[in-house]
Amino acid sequence: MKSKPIQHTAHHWLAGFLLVAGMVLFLPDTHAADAPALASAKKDLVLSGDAKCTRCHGEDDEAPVLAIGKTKHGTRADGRTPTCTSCHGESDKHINKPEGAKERPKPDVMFSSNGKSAGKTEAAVQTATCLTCHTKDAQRSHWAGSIHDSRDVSCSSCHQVHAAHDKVRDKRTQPEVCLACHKKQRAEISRPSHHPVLEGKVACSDCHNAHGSVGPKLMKRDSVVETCYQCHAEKRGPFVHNHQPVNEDCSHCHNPHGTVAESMLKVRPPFLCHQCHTPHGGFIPQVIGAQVPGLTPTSPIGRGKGTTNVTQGRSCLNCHTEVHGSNNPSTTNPTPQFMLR
Amino acid sequence: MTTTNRMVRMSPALIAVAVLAAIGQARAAATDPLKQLMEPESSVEVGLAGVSGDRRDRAQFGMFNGMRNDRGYLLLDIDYLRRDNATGTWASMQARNLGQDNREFAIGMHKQGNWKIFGEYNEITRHSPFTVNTAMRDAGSTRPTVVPLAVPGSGSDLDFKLARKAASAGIEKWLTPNLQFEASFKNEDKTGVRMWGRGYDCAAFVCGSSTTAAINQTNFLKNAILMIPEPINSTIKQFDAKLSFHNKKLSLTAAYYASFYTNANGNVSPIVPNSLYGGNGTLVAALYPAVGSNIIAGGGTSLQNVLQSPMALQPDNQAHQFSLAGNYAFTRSTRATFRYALTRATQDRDFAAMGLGESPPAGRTNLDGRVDTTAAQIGITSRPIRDLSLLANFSYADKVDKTPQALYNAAAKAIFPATVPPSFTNSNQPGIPGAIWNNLHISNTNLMGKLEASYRLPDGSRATFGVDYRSIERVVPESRVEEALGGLGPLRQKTSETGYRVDVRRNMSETLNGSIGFSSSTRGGSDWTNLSTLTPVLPTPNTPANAFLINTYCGGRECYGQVLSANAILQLSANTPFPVHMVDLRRDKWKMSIDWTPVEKLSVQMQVEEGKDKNTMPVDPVAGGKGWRQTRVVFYGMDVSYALSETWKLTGYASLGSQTSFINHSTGYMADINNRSEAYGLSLAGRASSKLQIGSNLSLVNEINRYAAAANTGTSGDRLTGLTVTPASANNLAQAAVGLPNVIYRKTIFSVFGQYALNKKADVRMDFAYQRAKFDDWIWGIAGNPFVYSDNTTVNQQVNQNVTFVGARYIYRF
Repeated sequence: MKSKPIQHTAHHWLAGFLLVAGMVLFLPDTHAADAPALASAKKDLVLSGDAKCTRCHGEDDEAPVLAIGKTKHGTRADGRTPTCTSCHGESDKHINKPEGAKERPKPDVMFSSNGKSAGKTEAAVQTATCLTCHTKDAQRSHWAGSIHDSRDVSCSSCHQVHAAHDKVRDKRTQPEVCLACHKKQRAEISRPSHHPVLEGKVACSDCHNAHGSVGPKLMKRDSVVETCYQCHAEKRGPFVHNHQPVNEDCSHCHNPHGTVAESMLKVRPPFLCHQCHTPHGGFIPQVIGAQVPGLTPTSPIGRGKGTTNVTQGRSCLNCHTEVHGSNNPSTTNPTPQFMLR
Repeated sequence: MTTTNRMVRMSPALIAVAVLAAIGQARAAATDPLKQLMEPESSVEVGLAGVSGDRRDRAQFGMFNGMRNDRGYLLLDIDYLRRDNATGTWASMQARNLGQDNREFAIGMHKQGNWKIFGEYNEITRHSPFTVNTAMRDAGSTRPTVVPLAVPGSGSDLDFKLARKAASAGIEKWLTPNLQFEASFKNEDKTGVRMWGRGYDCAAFVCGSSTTAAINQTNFLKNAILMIPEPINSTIKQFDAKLSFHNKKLSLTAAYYASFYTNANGNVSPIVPNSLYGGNGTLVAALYPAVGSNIIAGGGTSLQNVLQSPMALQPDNQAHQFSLAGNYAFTRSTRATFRYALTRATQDRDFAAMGLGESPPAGRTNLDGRVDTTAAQIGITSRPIRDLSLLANFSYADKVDKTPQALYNAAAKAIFPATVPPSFTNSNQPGIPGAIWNNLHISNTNLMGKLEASYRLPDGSRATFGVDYRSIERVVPESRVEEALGGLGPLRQKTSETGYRVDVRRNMSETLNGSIGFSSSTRGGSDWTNLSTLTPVLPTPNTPANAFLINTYCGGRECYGQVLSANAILQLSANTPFPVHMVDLRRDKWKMSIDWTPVEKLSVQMQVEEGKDKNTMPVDPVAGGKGWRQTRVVFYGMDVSYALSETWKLTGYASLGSQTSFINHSTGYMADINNRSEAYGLSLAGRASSKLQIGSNLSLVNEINRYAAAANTGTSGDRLTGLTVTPASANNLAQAAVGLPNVIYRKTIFSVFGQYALNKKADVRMDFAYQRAKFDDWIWGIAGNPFVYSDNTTVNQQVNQNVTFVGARYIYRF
């Protein structure tokens, strides 16, 4: 039996992982020297050098600023964290309102929550401001040219930098953020067959990398199938009897955002299957209790292939049950090549 | 053989100890009001919830939320977050849904920009919304016993569920300011039962022909379908390690990813009685018997034996991937992205260990499956001038199935010349190939390319023009000796799709933004690999019509495996459907969005989309188009947000979608399937006083699926005499007139909450929600007529489901 050695292999991986984890964590602190002297922030409230901003801006603002102290950006012991002007620019004219100006000019760099320009700050500039620091994460390596980048979706379109709770980084609240723009998917995830997105158990980011990826539709891995295999690895095969579309693209048959048909099928069988297949005679879909006399079974002998058996229940899958592939090697009749067993 | 996957369950006691420890530490925290505004905050929420109705009422409500079975639940969520300001080190613990079967727990520590360690535990339980009524014994085991019920609905109710329990751990470490190491490991156990099934309609070479007079087969049941539950006891282990380097120009990540799937179960072998119910609901004394040598030379196999034969479960498999990815900044405005990945997936589960050792091909004890994938991508973005952005992206993925070939596929053929009694063989006979053939391979090569230019016009608009290309090249069978596929039309070795898109976005003012876009693409591809079995070397002469087809379109040779034009394919078989994912098609889609903030208090977003995908393959003028024909999609969405005051906000949304697909069966119906989807929501939230927050939400989902199907006409004649239209049969016309009922899903949720601040650190919160759902679907029965399996097993879901939820909780922040 092969499973045991494989499990052992996996256990070895776990042991190795823990060993490496322990060793790595005891390596020296590479950033200890970066920590600023807190004493220099005497007049500052929350960020090093924020005094010139927090003398006017506080928690009562339309956009409260102090809560940034609750976030990673507000960790002053990390010498890499910014001050207000790191992101918003020096903003001299905002701080010192020019004489004669009716309104106080906006800060040099403004961030918006709707993905469009904020004041005169283009979305690309907003994003570039964040990327000044946030380029080191491998998850963002393919931001440049990604669909969000090219559609002017800036970081602040999704992230709330000043808030203690950034909705998009919490899988329970992340859908609120994504679905605000992806309205079609908002309707789909409320259908009866769905991933538990609204229930807070699966997040959009479990499948999509909003920061850019190699895969289509910002898939987290290189293809649709590889992304699905993360949780549905049993479909990977290869099998003795493969079903060709399965390994090409799960979305040929499934809509992962939700459907009325069971198993998130885009169209319910038999209609789904008949988009490619040619089986079982002059078939007319029908349900039990609504059959014309000529098609109602009168004989006890069988139920046949072209009646309710192919429309109701699991439809075609009532017999072709191994639709993702079968590893049955039997060459005894009836052989399993039609995914029967 | 069965092994058991075990997982340490998160003990509530263990969690409680952790919580107490956390709160104890928290008491030492400073209570300066200013600090409270700026320091990370923790909270504990504890309370009780009551849910009305039974599990039938909660089939939809309780599918995933952990509230399917009981009337009362403990509500316990913990968020612990602390930062050591001196070192910048964070400690966190998060526990959610501790009183339900979808609980999760996470703990972690990290020092920003230096190191991170975390561990997580997560349960997801899916309760099937369906209730199975059956007399089956040991349902959910690998050896269930089918027991016919005297009357449908008189058995025991079974409710299936699937539980995923995942534990993961990970570390990150910045080795130098430019070098980061990350590793994570995840173990997910999946246990439970789900609906599955099996069915078989006796073939002549298995059970003998129904016209054989040697035995009175009218007394035997020829076909049956059974609900066989699938037992799930499997594990997915994933390991991910990355080493990332970064400097001002280069970001480079070398990664290794491994995934192991193991299944404790190899097969399901049901025990099936030799008596089941027939088509008219009569208990038939016996299934088709294992007929004697007087019916099939060498004897046959009984339907009972077929239904009891082992059904394969998913085999263990493994995948390993090495990759190199990153980006490089040539200049401040020109950057390249790239990725190269090698993946090897293997599957070598021993057939005998799976309980599937019955007559595999000679010499094969496992599939020895191996699929190697090479993937590469490179992209360049540039902004040569301030107003112009350019993008070029290209990716390639070559999946090579290196699984050894073996003769796994067999379809018994009558021995020629015919014998009495008839004899069948799984071996190819001279002139009659296609009785035995190799396993189907799944190699394919994907190419994707994208070019895009985006220019900012003087009026502030941004116009984007893009060109996209995608192709897939697959392996297709070349002869029936190699792979004799059946049950579908032709296959296509290569499909390629080329399209363009235009998008204009404009900031019309500081309060109004809009965009409009159009995309169009066409898919074509290679000629088609024919699967028609017409052959000139049959032992018996072909009909003149078939000989004409073979000579005219197949060059006088066997047609199977020949690469032919679509028109030639239709000449060989007018009713051929071309597979939906391979057909020539044209896609057109346009969309528009508006984002309007007329006053500070009001914002409005609108979105409109319309698209059509149309099959552009040739169609036989007599038979008409078969398979998938066309899909149309329309979507309208609007969101409104209005600030009633400084403390009250009203938000709402409405969307309407419609998707219509036209699908024609090869010889039966012509379907017009429409899904109309409406969704509405209205929320009001605000502060009634400095201490009281109130919110309410009303949402409505209305889905109507309509299945209109007309009876298709037929064809008669042949290509020599000419095809002519024959009317649909009276039965088919009458049945099409009866049609299929609509499927309706309606869900209304009203919820309201109030949260009152007892003091600066403590709140009480009350939640009330009412969910009213209606799911009227004919799949398991309609209007009191259940769909009945051959053992009188039935499946159902309550049509109207009303649930009330009331929850009260105490929230303490520290």
